[in-house]
Amino acid sequence: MIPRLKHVLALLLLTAVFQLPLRAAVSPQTLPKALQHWAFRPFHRPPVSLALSARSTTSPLDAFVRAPLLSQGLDLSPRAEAAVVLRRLYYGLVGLPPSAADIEHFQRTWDQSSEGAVDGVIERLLADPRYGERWGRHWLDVARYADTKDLVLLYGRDALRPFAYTYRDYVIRAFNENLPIDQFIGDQLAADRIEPAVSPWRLAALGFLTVGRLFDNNPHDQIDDQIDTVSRGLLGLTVACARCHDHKYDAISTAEYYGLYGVFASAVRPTVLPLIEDPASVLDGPAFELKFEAARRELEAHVDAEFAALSERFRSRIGDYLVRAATTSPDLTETAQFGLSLTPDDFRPSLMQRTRRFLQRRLQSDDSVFGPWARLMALPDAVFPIQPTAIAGFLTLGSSEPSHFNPDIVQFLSSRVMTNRASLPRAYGDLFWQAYSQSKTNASSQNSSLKELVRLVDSSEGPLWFPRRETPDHMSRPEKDRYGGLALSLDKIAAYATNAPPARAMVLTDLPEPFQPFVFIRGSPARPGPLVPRAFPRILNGGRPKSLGPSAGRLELAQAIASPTNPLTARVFVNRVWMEHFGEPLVSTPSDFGARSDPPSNAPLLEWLTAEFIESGWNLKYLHRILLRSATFQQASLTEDSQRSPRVIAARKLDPLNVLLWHYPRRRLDLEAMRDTLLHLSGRLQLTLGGRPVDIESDSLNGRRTVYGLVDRQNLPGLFRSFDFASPDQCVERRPQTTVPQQALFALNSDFTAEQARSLLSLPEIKATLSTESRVNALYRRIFGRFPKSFELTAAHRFLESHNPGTVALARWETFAQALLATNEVVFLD
Amino acid sequence: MNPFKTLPIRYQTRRQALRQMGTGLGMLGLYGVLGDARLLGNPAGPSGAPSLRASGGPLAVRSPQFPARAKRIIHIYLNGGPSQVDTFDPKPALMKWAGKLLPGGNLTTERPLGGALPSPFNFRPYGQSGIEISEIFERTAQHADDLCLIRSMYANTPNHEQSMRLMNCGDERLSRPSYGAWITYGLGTENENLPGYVALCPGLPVADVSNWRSAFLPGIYQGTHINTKKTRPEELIENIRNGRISRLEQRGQLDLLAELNTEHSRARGDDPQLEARIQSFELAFRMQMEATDAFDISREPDSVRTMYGDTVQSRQLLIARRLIERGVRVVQCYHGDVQPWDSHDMIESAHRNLAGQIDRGIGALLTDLKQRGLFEDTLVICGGEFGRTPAVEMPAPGTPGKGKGRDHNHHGFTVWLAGGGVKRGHVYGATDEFGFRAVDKRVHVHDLHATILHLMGLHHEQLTYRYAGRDFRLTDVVGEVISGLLG
Repeated sequence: MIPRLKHVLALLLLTAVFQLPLRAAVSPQTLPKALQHWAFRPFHRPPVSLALSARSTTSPLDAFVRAPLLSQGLDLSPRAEAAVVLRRLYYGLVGLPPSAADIEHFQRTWDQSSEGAVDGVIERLLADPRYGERWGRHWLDVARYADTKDLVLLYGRDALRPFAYTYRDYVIRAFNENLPIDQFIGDQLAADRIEPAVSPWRLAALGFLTVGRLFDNNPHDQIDDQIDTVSRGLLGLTVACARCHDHKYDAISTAEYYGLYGVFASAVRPTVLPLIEDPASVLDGPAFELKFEAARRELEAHVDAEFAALSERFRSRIGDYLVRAATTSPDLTETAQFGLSLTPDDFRPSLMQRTRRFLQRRLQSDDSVFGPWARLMALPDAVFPIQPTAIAGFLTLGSSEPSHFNPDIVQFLSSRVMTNRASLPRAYGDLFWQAYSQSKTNASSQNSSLKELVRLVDSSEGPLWFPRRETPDHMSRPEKDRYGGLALSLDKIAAYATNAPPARAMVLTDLPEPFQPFVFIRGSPARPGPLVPRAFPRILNGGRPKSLGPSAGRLELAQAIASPTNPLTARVFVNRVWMEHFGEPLVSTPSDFGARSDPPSNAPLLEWLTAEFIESGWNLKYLHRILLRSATFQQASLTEDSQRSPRVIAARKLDPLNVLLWHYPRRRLDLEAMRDTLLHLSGRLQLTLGGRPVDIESDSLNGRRTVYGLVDRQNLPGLFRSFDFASPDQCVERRPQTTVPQQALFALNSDFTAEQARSLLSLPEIKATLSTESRVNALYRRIFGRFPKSFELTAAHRFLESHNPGTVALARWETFAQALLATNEVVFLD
Repeated sequence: MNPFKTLPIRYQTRRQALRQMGTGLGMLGLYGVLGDARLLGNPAGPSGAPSLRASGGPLAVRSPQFPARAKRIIHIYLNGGPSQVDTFDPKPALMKWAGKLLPGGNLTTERPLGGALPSPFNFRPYGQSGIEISEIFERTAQHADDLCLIRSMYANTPNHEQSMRLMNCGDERLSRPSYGAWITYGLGTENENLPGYVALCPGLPVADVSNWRSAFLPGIYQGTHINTKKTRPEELIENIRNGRISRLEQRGQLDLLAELNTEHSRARGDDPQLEARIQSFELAFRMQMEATDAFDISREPDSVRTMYGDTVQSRQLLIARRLIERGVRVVQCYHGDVQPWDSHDMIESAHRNLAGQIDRGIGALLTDLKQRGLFEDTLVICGGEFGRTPAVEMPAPGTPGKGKGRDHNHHGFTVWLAGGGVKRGHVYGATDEFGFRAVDKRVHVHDLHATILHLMGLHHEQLTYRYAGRDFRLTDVVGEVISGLLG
C-alpha cells in the first residue's frame, strides 16, 4: 500500500513538472481568450451581397473593396489607360515590360472588349515560364534562399552549396506547373515522406528546410532557423520567440517550441545528397559521379575509423565521465554552444551532458545497478570511509526480501574501501570497464548480471554511446579538420565542375529513432527540462493538443500546416500574394498574424479571398485571375489632373495612406524587375530556365534573369543591397523600399548600364534608322513603348547635337540611351 | 498603434514637404533619400520621435534622445585578440610564476594551457596619471592622460567568430544588427553624400560581413565595407566614377534626365517617390566628388601623412579622420584580414610587429583629433574581441602554438576609450593578479554597448526595433551604462 502510494505521488509530481511549461503561458484562462484573436478563428466566407453596392462591379472582390470606401463617401478611381493596365499585368505576373507591339495589340483588343483583352493577357502570361521565375523569387524571400554556406573563411566557390539551386528551380517549376499550394507546402516540409513517392524533382523542395544558415554548425540554431522559417513563413506566427521562455504575446509555450524542435531534431542533412537527375542524361555525368563516389568513400572511411576509435576510447573512460558528472557541476566546456577544439583527452560536451542526464535518471535507490550507489551516497559524511564488510552488510541488511541489486555490483563494492563519495563513481567505472574488457575476449561465459553491466558500456543504453553520424562532433581537432576538408571536397568537386553535375536534392532524412525532445531551460541545451511530446501548437488546433504521432512527425506537421482547417496558412499565403500585386498587404505584418499584429485593413476581403483560394484547391493561378481582373487592380494611380479633383482632395483627407485603396499605388521596380527590364530592352536578356547560379555582379555581359544570379549570403553584392534585396539570413516578410544615391550611381556609372545602352543601339531596329529623329523615335518605342512627345524630341535634339550639329557620335547616342534607361518612366510602375 | 501612420508623407509634393520642413536646399538632399513610409513609421523607432517625424529619410539626421557627449565613433579594432598583459594591463606577478602553473589553476579557454608566461615587454608609467603601458604602444601612451582604460572587460566565449559578433552585434550567433547599424538607425548621418557607417579593413575580418550587418534593420544601415588593400579612392566605392564620359558630359546627361523626369513627375502630381529618385541623382552626382575626396589621403599635407606613418593601418586611421570630419557617424578600422592579433605562438615578435604597424597611427590620430577640435565629441574605441591568456598555450596536435604564445581569453581583457565624454587618464576595473579574469568592476560587452549608446545620446533600452513580433535592442535584455567611465 505504502509503496503504491509513493508511486502515485511520484507520478503526480512528475505530471505536474511535465505540465509546468505548458501551463505557464497557456493557462486554461488564456487559451480560449487567445483563440478569440481574429487570426486564430476559423474562416468564414462572408456573403458577397453584404458588400454589394448600387453600382454594378466586375467582381465580388471589388464589392469588398468598395464597401468601406462607399461608407466614407469614397470610391475606386476610374480605370487606368490600357497601356498602364497592360504594364501592371506584365510586371505583376512575369516581371518584364510589354513591347510596343504588345501594347498596340492590347489596345486594339481592349477597344473591342477590355475584359476579353485582360483575360487573354493573363492567360498568356500565366502560361509563360517567366511567370514561375517572377513568382518563384517572391517565395525565395520567404525561404531565405542563398547559394552559399555561411562558414567562416570560406570564400568564392568554396562557399558554394553546389545543389542549392535545385531548390530555387523546384520553386520556379512548382509555380509554373501551378502545383496546388497545399502540396507545395507539403513538399517543402516532407517531400521525402509523402506516399506514394513524389517525382524526384519535388524532393528538391526540402531545400526550404536546408538552405538556411549553418550558425557555426550549431544544430540548435539551425533547428531554430527551421522553426522560425516554417512558423513565420507558412503560419505567420513567431514561434521562435518561445525558445527561451513562453511567448510573451501569443499563446505558445516553450514546451510547444520544443515539441516542434523534436520534429526537426529527428531529421538530419545526409552527407551525400540523393540524385534527382539521371547521370547518363547529363554531359560528363557518369565521369563526374565516379569522381564524386571516390571522394565519398574516402570521407566514409575516415568516419568509420574515427567512429570505432572514439567509441572505444570513450568506453575506456567511463569511470572518468562518471566521476566528473557525479562530483562537479557543468562548466563552460559543457555549456558552450559552439565547437571547441578538442584534444583526445578532453571530455566531450554532449557525452558529458548525456552522462549527467543518465545519472539523473538511473541514480535511484531502487535501480538494480545504481541503487547501491544511491543508497551509499545518502549516508552521512561521518560514516566515510566505509570498509568493505560494512558495505556488504549495509546493502543486504535490513531487508527480508532477496536483493534485486545486480549481484556483481554488490560483490564488487563489497571488495573496496569507499574513502569518500567520489570513490563510488570510480568503483562503478572500474567495474564497468572490467566487465566490458572481459566481454571482448570471452562474452559467451558472461552471466546475465555481467551482461547488464556490459550493455551500459557498449550499447545505446549506456551514457557514452553515440551514433555514427555524430562522430564528427567528437573528433579531436586534427581529425575534425580532416573530416571538414573531406566533406568540403564533396561540395567542391561539384562546385568547380566545368559542366553542371547531375542534380541532387538538398533533402533531410529522418533518424531511425525519432528524437525525444525536452525543454531547454532558458534555451540552453545544457539545462535539460521536462520531456515534451512532438506536437503541433494548440493555438492552431482550436486549443486542443495535437500529437504528431509516433514517427518523427514531419509529414504530420506538413499536413497540419497545409490544412484547410488551419486558420493561418491560407490567410498568410493570400496576404503575401495580395502584397505583391497591390504594394501593401492587407495584414501589415505578413509574417506575424499574432496578437501583436494590426487586424487586416479589410477583413471581409481577406476572408473571402481565403475561402475562394481554399475552395479552388489552393490554386494560385486562380487567385491571380481574381485579383488582376478586378476594377481595384485596374484603377488609375494618381495623376496631375486627378489630384485637383474634389474626389481626390476628399479622399486624401479621409485616407491619406490609401489603406482603403481608392487609387492604385505607384511603385518602384524591385531589383529583379529593374535589371531584367534593362536586359530585355537592350535585347540581351537570355531566356534560359534554371541551372547553376551565375555571376551577375561582376559580369556585366551576363544576360540571365536576376533570379539566377548567385546569392552569396556571406557577401551579398552591393548591387543587391543597394536595391533592397531580401536579406538571405532569415525569412523575409517584405523588402524595404528605399531610394538612395547608390542606386543612381549604378544607373549612371556601372558597366552594366553602359553595356545595355551600347547593346540597345546595336539592335537592328535602332541601327537601321537614318535620321536623328527616326532613331529617337525608335528608341522611345523600344524603351517606353510609345513615340516621343514634342518636348521630348526637342530635348533629344538639343542634347544630341549640342556638340556637333548635324552628326551625332555613337558615344553621344550611348549617353542619351543610358539617360532614357535611367528615367522614372522605366523604373516606376504607375 | 503606429504613431506615424497619420503621416501622409507619400502624398506630399516636394514643395509641400520643403515648406513644412522650413529649410532650403540642404534639406532637399535629406528629403531626397526618402525612405518608404513604413520605415519612417516604425512604431518602435527611437523615442526622439518628433525629430524622426520632421526629417525625410532613413539617413537624415535625427536628434539623440538626450544630449550626446559624442557625435561620432572611430573604433580601432585589433581583431584577433590582443594580449592585455602585453599591452595595457601589466602583471609583474607573472614573472614570479614563470613556467609554473598559476596558483588556482588555469581557466577554461579554447586550448590546453601550461604555466605562466610573463610578458616579454617593459611597462612604464606615462603622463601625470601614471598609467602603465607597454613599450610596444609607446606612442599611444603619450596620450595616457586622455585615455580611459577598461581593464575589466569580459565576454562569453573564447572563439573568434562568436566574440567578434558579440563585440559588434551583441549576440554571438544569431543574426542581429551591429552597433554601428543601430546608431545610424538611431541618429542618421550628418553627410548623406557618404555612407553613415563605414568599416575599413584590408581584406575581411573573421565573421566577415556579419560584423557590420544590419540584420533585420533596413539594409541602408549596414556598414559599407571598404577594402583598403585597394588604394585608389575610386576603387573603394562601387560605381563612384564614370570612366566613359567627362564630368561635364555627365552633367549634361543628368540635365536631360532631370528634364524628362520632371515632366514625367509633373504629370503624376509630383509624387514624392518620383521626386525622391530625381534628387537621388543629384546626390549621386555630388557624392562622386565628395566620396572620392574623403578617401583620398593624398590630399593631406605631407606633414600629416608623415605623422600617421605609411602602414595600411595608419592609412585607415587617416581615412577615418577624413570621414568623421565629413560627418560619417561610425568608422571601424579593422587591423587586418582574418585575425592578425591571434598570437598563439611567438607572442614577442608577433605582438611587437603588430603594435608597430598601428601605434604610430593611433598616436597621430589622437593628436590630430585634438588639433582639429574633434577629440571632445569623437569617441575613440580601441580593443579586440577578447584578450589572451597569461598562461602559455601548450603545443598539442592541431593547435598552432609551439609553447611561446597565448590562447584566447574572454575571461578578462582591456578595451580603452578616449574622447567623446569619457574620463581622462583613468583606469577602470581590474583583472586578477595574473590578468586572467576580470575581477573588479567587471564590464561585459553588453555594458560597453550600453555605455557607447549612452555617450551617443541613446538609451540602450529605448533604441528598439520591432521585428518578428518583438522589440529588439542592441543589448537584448541586459547591459548597464557604466557611469564610472563617464567624464
